[in-house]
Amino acid sequence: MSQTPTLRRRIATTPMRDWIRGRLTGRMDLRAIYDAADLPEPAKQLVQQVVKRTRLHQLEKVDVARELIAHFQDALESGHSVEQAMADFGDPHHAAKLIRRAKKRNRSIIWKMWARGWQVMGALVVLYVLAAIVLALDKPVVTVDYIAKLNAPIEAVPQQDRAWPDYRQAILALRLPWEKDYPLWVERDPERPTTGSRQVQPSDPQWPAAVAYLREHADALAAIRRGASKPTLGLTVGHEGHWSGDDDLALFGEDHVIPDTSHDSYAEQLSSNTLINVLLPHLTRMHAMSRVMTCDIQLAIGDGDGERAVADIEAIIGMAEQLRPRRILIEQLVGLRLAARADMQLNALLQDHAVLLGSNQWAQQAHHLARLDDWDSLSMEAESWMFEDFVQRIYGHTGRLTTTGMQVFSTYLDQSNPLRTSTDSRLLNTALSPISAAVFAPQDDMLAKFRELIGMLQQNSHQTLREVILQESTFEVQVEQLNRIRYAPLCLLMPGWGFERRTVLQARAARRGTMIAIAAELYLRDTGSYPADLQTLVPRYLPQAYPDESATSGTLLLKVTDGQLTVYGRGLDNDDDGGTPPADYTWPRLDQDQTDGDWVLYPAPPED
Amino acid sequence: MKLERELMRGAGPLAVMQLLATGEKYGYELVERLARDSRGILAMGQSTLYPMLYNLEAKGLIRSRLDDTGPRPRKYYRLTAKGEKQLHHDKQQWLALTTAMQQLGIANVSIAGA
Repeated sequence: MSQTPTLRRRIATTPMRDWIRGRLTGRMDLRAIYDAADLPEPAKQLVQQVVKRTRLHQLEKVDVARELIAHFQDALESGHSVEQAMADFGDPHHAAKLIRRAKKRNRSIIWKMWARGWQVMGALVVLYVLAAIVLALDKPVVTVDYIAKLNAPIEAVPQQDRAWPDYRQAILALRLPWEKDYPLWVERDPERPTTGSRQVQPSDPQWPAAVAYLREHADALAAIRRGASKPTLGLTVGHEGHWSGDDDLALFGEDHVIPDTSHDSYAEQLSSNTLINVLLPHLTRMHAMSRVMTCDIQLAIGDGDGERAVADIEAIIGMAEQLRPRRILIEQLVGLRLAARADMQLNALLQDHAVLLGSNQWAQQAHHLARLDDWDSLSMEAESWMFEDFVQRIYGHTGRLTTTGMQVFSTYLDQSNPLRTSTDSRLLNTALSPISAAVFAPQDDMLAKFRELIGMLQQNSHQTLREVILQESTFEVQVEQLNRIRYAPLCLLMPGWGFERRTVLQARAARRGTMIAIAAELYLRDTGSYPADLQTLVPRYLPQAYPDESATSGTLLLKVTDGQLTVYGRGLDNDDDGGTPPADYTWPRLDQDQTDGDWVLYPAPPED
Repeated sequence: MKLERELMRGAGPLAVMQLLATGEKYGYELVERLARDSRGILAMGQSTLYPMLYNLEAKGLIRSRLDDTGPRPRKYYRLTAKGEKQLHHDKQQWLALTTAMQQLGIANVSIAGA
């Protein structure tokens, strides 16, 4: 029974192109076509069945329906029965299948491209989702415990060779973890607290209180000297909770609360337990102990006690030597800083109070400094371990950055870094993980690039200080040129490296300056005058005529003016300016922009 | 006798194009002409005729038009220029095939108009 289609139905069955032309045709109204078809019900149902099974577009179905209706009407008109016409037509399923195939073939090339585009897009989406699932399930596994590896040789040291128990005793007695309002420190600039503190000097109003404090804690100072005479520091390192009891108290103070990490996610655990995040609280304490010793050196000088002054200097050297074999770069750098402090104290003592020490004592101090002369490089072993440890925590079994790894990596980025912002959300992180895995270098590539850069760093180990300063470092150039996304972990960790050779060579040169000045003092005591040149001191007072590392050739120079000795190098301009440093000279830095002036190593300025 | 499916697959389109070479025709007309003019040998399941027509149309060998002027709307098919060329080509092929068959003694009829 034919029914007039409703307006709503006409609207719904009008193709878009008719809409655009402003015609409400209802051309896609199959039901209206069937209703209008003058066919017996069985034939009509067969047509409907075939058309429905074609699963074609609506307009295509309309086309097929019209043609099949006409076909059956023609068949009936030519005298066939309905049953005969249906039997002649054949299998409706087969017909629908063939019609669908043929009609699809008949579609426009644009439609085919569009459909293929969607198929490709769908396949890519499926692949992307599969990759995201694989990366989300592929958890990084820590296979090497680098902290245990770092601590193993420390744990093997016999108790009697460990300095830490003595230091711990001294730190607790001196209450060094509670440094605020400490009687030995004064504000550099009370108006600007951010400038930090310095050791109290005899000229400061706080000096009497400092003297009383030092005398009161003579036992603690003796414990520092005792500890410094031991061959090793003997303190293992770890994360929060690694130390307990008095160790924890000495390293962190009374109010130290160990954070509860029991509810941390796997990614948070991976992130917080890296070798990079290992805590080194002993460095602050050792630095503070060396500052205490410098105060005591001032007191010893005031007391006219040269022996105690050199004992304190030797204690600082001892602490430096204990940090020297440690594998972590920052520990070695602090050791280097302590060695420089001892050197400066000797340098200052020689300038103003040389008479406090006998010749043998000065010779002994020179030997202490000479012992450090082969300290011309820093070990990068633990830094390599840190990188390898980091890599094992971000890459999975597939060798690609995992979802968990991306979370771990992002915790090392600044809060403002867009990469970190986007990875704060776990869902977003998972969704982006295939992209992250694609843009980040695979594990093998990352490690290979790291080893290549480390190799470049080691190539620089034969450069002189002058070469280090003036020649462009291939290592730094390579780090600059790194693809910042592909090698993001390398860019994050490596730029801080490369300075170490310059630091270590400057410190060695400064020590050599002091050694030469001590040798000249001993020569003066023996002969009544300073030597004319460096060569005069070799070999009796000095093992060798140390080269001038600021110049292209020659040895360091001596000059005596009005009874005042100066030890210097010619500077990067290769020009002997008579021991006059550049105007903005920062001892003992040798800077590229200080083109005029000499590199003065003795006398050193007083330590601030 | 009806042709096997494989033979019909090659012969069917050629037969349809040959019928359309004499003028445009609608679906059922083609069904009837195929059955009648080939004495039933080329009578095909009607359900396969329409897909065949759509395929020929997709290849550009025939073109259809809807005629609303008669008692009922009918879709008429006609041969295109491309279809004419294809028909000529296919007929040459069939002639060669039939000649070969004749030489082998399999067929012994003359093909007129090929």
